[in-house]
Amino acid sequence: MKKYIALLMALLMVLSLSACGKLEEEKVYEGTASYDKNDDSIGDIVDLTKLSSTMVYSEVNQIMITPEKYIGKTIKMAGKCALYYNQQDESKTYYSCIISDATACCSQGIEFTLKEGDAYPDLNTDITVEGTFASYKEDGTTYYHLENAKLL
Amino acid sequence: MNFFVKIINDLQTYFEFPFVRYALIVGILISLCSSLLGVTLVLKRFSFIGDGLSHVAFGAMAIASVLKLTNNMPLILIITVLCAILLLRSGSRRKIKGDAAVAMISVGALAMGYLMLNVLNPSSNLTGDVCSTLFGSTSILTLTKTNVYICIVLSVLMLLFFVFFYNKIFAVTFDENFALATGTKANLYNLLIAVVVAVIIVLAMNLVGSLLISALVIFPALSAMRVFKSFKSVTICSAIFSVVCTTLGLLISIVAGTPVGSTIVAVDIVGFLGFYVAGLIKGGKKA
Repeated sequence: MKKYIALLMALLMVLSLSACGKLEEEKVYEGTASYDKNDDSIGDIVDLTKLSSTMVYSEVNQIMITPEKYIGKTIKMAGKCALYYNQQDESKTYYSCIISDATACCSQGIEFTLKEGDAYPDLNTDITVEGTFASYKEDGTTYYHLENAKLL
Repeated sequence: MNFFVKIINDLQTYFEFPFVRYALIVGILISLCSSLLGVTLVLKRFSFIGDGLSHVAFGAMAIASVLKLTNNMPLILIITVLCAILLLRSGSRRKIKGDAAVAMISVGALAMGYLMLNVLNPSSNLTGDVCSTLFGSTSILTLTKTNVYICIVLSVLMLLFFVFFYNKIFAVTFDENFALATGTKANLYNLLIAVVVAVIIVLAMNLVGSLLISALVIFPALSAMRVFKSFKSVTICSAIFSVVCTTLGLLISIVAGTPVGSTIVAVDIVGFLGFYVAGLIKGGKKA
């Protein structure tokens, strides 16, 4: 009898946990963008500078996995400036804000494009950048970046 | 006081993120499962098998990366379960026995996995891939929904196995020969335990990484054994210890920005020391 009660408890526990998962799934968009509590338009701002390094890495990973959910959001992040050159067209340089995980072995970043006329930072400079998350196409591939970004 | 208020506010903010809640759910389930079987493994002196199988899982993950599989868990599960059966298959006909077989498969899988990642890996971030797999990094906070559901289903199966076969596991753990003599199919249960261990290892890789998995299996059981003596009380205490330590470690790593896996293991070590002292005090009082 005890065995069946324990079994029922285990099932109920897991069913309740599964239910939590489903609710969260529906709230995913609201949840990820709602942590700037001082701003009325909270749903539109994703401020990564307020998070711990573990959280920043995880949230940037979320942005990379589901970029379409972040289109149009204002993203603010702090990290190191990285440069990439287009191998076909060397005049094109791409700038990214890179963050590392807590073990410092993995890093991820988001490309940013500053407003016309603004000067870009040097490689490996510590930067805080804010811009609107958007997509663009190049050579048939969709890329994501922070457009009209500004350095803070 | 302000410090604690800030931590609570930070945690409230972080729990708005779905991936933090997923991590907590999966973390609790994995720690619960690993601690339940940890008692059996420690008592049967199979502690090192967890370590060996975790290296096998690393090798399997390398194969999945090379094959560019989106969902690598099924492949890792199959390979790890097969190796677990191979390692725990009892019988006197085996030419390479016990710890030598574990060491051989463990080191071989680790070396082949790293070699494959180096030579054939399509990703340019080799260091990141290896480090993330070995030490967990933030894997638990970057789980996909599919991974979360697989973890939940497998954890339920593990719990059902433990609840249904508690008496058989108890018998096989303490006296295999007696269990055989009383008609219990000890070899079959050993095989089932091997399969379950392999599944837990694969699940736990997301939580603490393949190098730190043994901590989840060993520390809760050893800590509980410092204070309690019966199989049942040790198992219950081990489960509570593991869930509390994992939750604490996960929350600390999220707030302080430390690596998830090693923070959980650090909390396990502190917990073990606490139980060790408690055991000494309890023993002293009895004397």
